[in-house]
Amino acid sequence: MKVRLNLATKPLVTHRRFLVGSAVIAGVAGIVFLALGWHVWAARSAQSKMLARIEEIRVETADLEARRAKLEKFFGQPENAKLSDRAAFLNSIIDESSFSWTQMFMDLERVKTGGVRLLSVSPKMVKGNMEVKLKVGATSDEAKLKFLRALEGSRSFGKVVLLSNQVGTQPGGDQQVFELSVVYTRA
Amino acid sequence: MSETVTFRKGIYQNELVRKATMWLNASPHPPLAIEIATDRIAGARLSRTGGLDGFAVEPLPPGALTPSAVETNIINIVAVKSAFESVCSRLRARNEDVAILLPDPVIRVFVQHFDEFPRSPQEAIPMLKWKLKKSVPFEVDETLISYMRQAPREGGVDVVTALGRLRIIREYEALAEHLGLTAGVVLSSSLAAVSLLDDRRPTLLARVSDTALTTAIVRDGVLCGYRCTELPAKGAALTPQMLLEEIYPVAAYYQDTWQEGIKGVRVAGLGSRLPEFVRPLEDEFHCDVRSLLHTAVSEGWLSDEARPLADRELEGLVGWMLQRK
Repeated sequence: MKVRLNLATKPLVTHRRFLVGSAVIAGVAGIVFLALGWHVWAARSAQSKMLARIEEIRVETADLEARRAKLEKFFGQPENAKLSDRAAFLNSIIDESSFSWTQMFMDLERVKTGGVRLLSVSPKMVKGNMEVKLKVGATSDEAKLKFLRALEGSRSFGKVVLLSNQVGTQPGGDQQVFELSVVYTRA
Repeated sequence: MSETVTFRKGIYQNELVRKATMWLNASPHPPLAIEIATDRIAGARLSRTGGLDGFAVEPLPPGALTPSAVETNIINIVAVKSAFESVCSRLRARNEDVAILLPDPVIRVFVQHFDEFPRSPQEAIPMLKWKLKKSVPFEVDETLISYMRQAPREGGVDVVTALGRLRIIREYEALAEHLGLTAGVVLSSSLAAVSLLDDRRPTLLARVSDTALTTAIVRDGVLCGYRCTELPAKGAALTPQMLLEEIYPVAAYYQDTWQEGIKGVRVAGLGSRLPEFVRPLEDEFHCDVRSLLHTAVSEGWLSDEARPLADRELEGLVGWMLQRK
């Protein structure tokens, strides 16, 4: 065993605690410094990459803008404008002719609830979207609401707008007759 | 408070933490050490690696030094100064720190148990002074005090306290200061020699120096008991019975307190008379009784470099040398 007693009037003091404490603090400070340095380096590196990417995108955007302007100028010429309108017209015809009535009726069948019947369906291509006008007869308010909710919840139909609503007068006929505009998204 | 104590006890159970704490709290160890006894002054210079760089021994004329905790120690100042100077000169001591190992009677040592003991020295030292004021034959105001905590047997804290009278310690320190040295460590020879004991089992040290007998018991790094007494005779007049009568109270105290017997006895200072004392001590304690230094040498505790010190029975210096390792 070691005896740690000292009766000197001016006792020698060990500096081990101080030295070890200083070394530990210096070590921790060093580790923190390295961690922060690495973090700063990583942040700067990421920032410079991002700036390079932004510059690339900016150049790409400027190039696309130039090409767009060039194309607009090209299509702005009278002879090309006619050609453009004709192409748009032909495209709309092609789109309408490729519309699948069978698919749309199958989708309507899925959303149609009890007490509701379709009176007329008229699809029309508007700005690239297939807008469908529906005339529907319902036996009650509740049946009408169920159908509207089913349409709104359907993935195949969107932008449901109620255009008109009439209350039926004929006994035994539909109590509610209403017109709807929906966008058929699977066209 | 109790949570902190429990936490500390918990972490100190870890061997690594205990070793690290001991290393951090280790006493400073100047390479130059001077051991002062009634018949001689011996010095040793240790190398950076803890080996022996050199040593010197100078005899003192009879009566030049009278170790005492109370009265003036240095009677023949010229002889003592001359011997001290000669030792320092041979060890090329100059403007440096020195450890001075004093005769055991100069320093009083107490092992006390406390249920609660303050951690800060500012609180602990006044408390120890107050506790020990009736145990020392001089005023508390002129007392130098040093203490160390050690692991308790059960709850609480065991504290080893060393006390010395200021003007007596200053007598010895002045010898060093006269030569431009600074006495950075002052300890008794037996306290330094305690490090030569194998404390893996309860071991008793009986060290005779002139008429002083120091008895100490160590166990698992703990100083369990310490007593320095005056023998009724010295040299050839000392009988085994006299020695036993002085050793017995410490051994009995240990057996009563720690509920176990002494497992080894190490004796120092009897020189060639040791064989006369072995059998009576063995009969009393029922364990092996051997020379402190011979055991340390035979068990390989001492390096070959320390052999010259061991051959001259300078157990204080040898113990001091071992404390560095």
